[in-house]
Amino acid sequence: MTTQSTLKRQEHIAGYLFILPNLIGVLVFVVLPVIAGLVLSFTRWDLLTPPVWINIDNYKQLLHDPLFWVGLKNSAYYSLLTVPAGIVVSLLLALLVNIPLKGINIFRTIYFIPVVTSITAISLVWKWLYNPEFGILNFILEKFGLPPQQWLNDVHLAMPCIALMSIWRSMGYNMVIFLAGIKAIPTQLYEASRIDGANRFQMLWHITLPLLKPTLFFVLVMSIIGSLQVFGEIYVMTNGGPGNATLTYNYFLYQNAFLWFKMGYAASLGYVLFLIIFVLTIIQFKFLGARISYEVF
Amino acid sequence: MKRSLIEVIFILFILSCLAVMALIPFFWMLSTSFKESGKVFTYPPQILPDPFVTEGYHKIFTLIPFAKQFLNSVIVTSLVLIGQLICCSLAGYSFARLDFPGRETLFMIYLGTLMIPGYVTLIPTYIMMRFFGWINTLYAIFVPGLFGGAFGTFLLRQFFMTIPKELEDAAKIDGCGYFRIYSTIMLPQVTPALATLGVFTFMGTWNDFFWPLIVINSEEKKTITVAIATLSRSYYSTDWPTLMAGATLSLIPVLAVFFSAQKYFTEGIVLTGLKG
Amino acid sequence: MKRSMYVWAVLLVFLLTVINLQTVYAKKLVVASFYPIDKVSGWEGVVKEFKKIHPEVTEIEVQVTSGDEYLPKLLTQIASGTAPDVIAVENTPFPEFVAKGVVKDVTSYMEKTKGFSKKDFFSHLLDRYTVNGKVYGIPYDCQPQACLFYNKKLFDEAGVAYPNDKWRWEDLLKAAQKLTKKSGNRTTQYGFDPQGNWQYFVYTNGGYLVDNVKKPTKCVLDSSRAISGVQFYVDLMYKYGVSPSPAMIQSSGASSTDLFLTGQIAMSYNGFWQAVEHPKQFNEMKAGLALAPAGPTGIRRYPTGGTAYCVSSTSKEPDLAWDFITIYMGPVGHKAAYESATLGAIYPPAHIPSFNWYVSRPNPFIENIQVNGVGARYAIFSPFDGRWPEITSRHITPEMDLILRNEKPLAPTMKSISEQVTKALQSK
Repeated sequence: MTTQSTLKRQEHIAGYLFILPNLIGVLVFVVLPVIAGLVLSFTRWDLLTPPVWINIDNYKQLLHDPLFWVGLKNSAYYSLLTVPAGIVVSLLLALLVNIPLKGINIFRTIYFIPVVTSITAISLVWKWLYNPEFGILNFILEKFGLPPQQWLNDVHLAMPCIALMSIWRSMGYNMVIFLAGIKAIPTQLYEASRIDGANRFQMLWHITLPLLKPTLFFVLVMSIIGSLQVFGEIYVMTNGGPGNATLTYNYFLYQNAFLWFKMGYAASLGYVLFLIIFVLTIIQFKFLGARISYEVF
Repeated sequence: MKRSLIEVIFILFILSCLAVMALIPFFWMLSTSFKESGKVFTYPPQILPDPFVTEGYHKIFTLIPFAKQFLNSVIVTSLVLIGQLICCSLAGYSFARLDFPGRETLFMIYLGTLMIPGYVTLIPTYIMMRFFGWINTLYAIFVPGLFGGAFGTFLLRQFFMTIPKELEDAAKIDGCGYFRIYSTIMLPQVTPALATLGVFTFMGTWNDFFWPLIVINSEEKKTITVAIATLSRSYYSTDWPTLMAGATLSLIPVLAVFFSAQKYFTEGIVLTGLKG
Repeated sequence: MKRSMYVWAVLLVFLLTVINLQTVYAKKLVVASFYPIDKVSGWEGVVKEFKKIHPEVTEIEVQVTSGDEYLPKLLTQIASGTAPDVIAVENTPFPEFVAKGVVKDVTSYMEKTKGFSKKDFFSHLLDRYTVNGKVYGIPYDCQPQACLFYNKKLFDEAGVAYPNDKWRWEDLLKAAQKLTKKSGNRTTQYGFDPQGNWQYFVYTNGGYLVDNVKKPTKCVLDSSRAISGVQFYVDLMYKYGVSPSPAMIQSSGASSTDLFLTGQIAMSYNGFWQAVEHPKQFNEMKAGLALAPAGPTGIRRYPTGGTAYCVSSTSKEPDLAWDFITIYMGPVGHKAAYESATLGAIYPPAHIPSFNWYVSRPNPFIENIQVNGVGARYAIFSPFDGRWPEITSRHITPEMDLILRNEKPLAPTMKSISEQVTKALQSK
């Protein structure tokens, strides 16, 4: 007869065995370079000659670097604009394409197309949309008697404009994840509550949303990580301009790493960002990370 | 709940509006891939190509070893896809349902690895590839992904967490070992999540650009995404029709995978028979 | 029986030795470049020629990487000890490459190679890659920003005389005004597009970026010449309305060249590469090419970029690398490139004999290629300092962008740019 502790040990062993292949990959190909990168952040390295140990000078320097603050502010702003709105939009979209209509699969695929369409093509179409002279947006504004805007050329509007494009582009991505999350909710719960007289909105609020917490946690964490590391989309729309209005943190990091011969400094920028995201994630974990339980219906 | 006809029409209307919005850049991309270089930026912009040429596609099929490079992409993507699905589902199940010392700490470390910008770890990883002797080989592209990463494990963990414990408990009482539980009960319940991870992995690996570009030197070992980018972007200008042709060609496999993965987006759990 | 075994043994030993000798003598040369596929097909002629001279080289690996990613990749290779033997180094990162000793001094090689001495190259171009009399890189292309492309059809329609080599700013402005057309509040045709090149206006007005290009210590963008130079550019856009603003170009999604080729711009100023990258369209348009105008007082000075090919200091085969460079950058290489190029469009060689040869070839896609050779006499490069890419991106580009968008007052901003750049140059 197996005892409690033997069962426990079996579970421990199984636990380790199951994660072993994945763990090896993560340790060797990710954690090791991450540790190397951390060490590099304490050096000055021009990539042409060997790195030189300089202690925490990089970290001291970045606090006084105006571009560090500009990049951080812009990336944070972008994140604030795209994450909440993006999650709401893609969740609504997921609910929409969950409706069992014939051919809904075609719509799902169509909404996913912007995610895989070349960013160069997307940026071009949106530049035309935002064009002050012949773009649709100003056309609509003028029809309503409102003054036309400069959009991407306006220091204050450029980032929101790009954020709008990003939300539109990636709504299909998170839609897929939310859809999978919705599909994981047992249909019996909905049937039972319908018998109890609940309407669709009540079902959404009391069943769907609470049971989507694990999915929501995933989408939220990954969206924040992705938005704070944004680079390509912005670069292709505005090159960081006008002035430095859309210079993002990750692009500034890239410049230091590969254009300005300051890889050590770039590494320190990377770890500061890591710290910020890590703290944010722990906060989210407190609110959303709990394991869900199904109330007995 | 039955929906009235008005409701259905209204829903279809919304779906269609959104669909049109989603398709516009795609159509522009497709149309441009058939345009002549000089006609891409006429004012006003042409909606349909005139003249209709296939120069962009022609360049892709003749100026680069397309077949070989396409095959490289297929090999790399397939291997990583299989590896990710297997390793991440095993690890995701373990993090979600198996208790072992250090589980939560290890998971936080996993999450942590997603938060470092890739440019910082690029050169250390490159040096590691050099140490293994994998520079300019496909190994450098697919081996790191073969064991799955933190992203897939994170995703699947969240989905494994949504499966009611009752299912497992019933199986344990029946005397199933952990692997049996995993393969016969847990996996089938998360097919939508597996399909999602499959699509994302396929998309990410197929379109991966920067790393393969850094690590591969010879033309025949390049993946198709890198090859087309090198072909259509010179130092001073962009060859739009070729770039768009390449983007269209890259998009088709991913979309095909997505569409066929839709059949796995079925209702998951059946709870009857577990109560009492 | 024993005898035949002997024979087999000897044969085996002989075979093994030969195989090992092959490995010992097998040599490999690695070349890195960022010219795209269809310009690399010229490589085949070069590689063939090189193998004739060096049959012992068993493998030549040519790594072609797209422009934006070339430097990150090269830096990664150097950082991990896998630098190619022959490397293309653009003029902007070049100062840092020399300062850190990653490129080899090839002066003695030049002296030993016929037809490859210092006087065989455009002196201003070679000078960029020469430090204290020692040459560290061989310039590949001669493309100073001295080209004024113009749309003959639009000129004929407006009844304006074509640009000539005597033009100064006033002639440019007068012609541009006649060539600008509006429809409502939208300009449908711009007379002149300097493509954001404000440095041209600073230089031809008699101003400079720094006190000494080779050893910069002070930024002089606050001089009255520099300020009034840029003022003219700003006026072209916002006072006379003959040039497109950065906002307009960015919103169009197109590059300036695209706009020129679709007839929305009558005169386009930049370097020759515009035509090289779009030979068919330039050929169809029958675009004209004149030397870019001199400044109001007749000063000629053209900002210049360009790339050099260098031997990496960690190369195990520097002699082979040098031989490859002489073939690639000499008559053989340029001839091979010309023959495989569309309509013979190649970057004009910086090697003078090759340049003269190229100019005498039929070049249906554009006329007047010798403009580049003339422009090379007035070429000026960006300041020679390893920190210059960072200094530009930090202090100059964002501010100049706002000045050119007419969103910041010109003189005070240029003074502040000057102060910051000087401070950066003088700090350690």
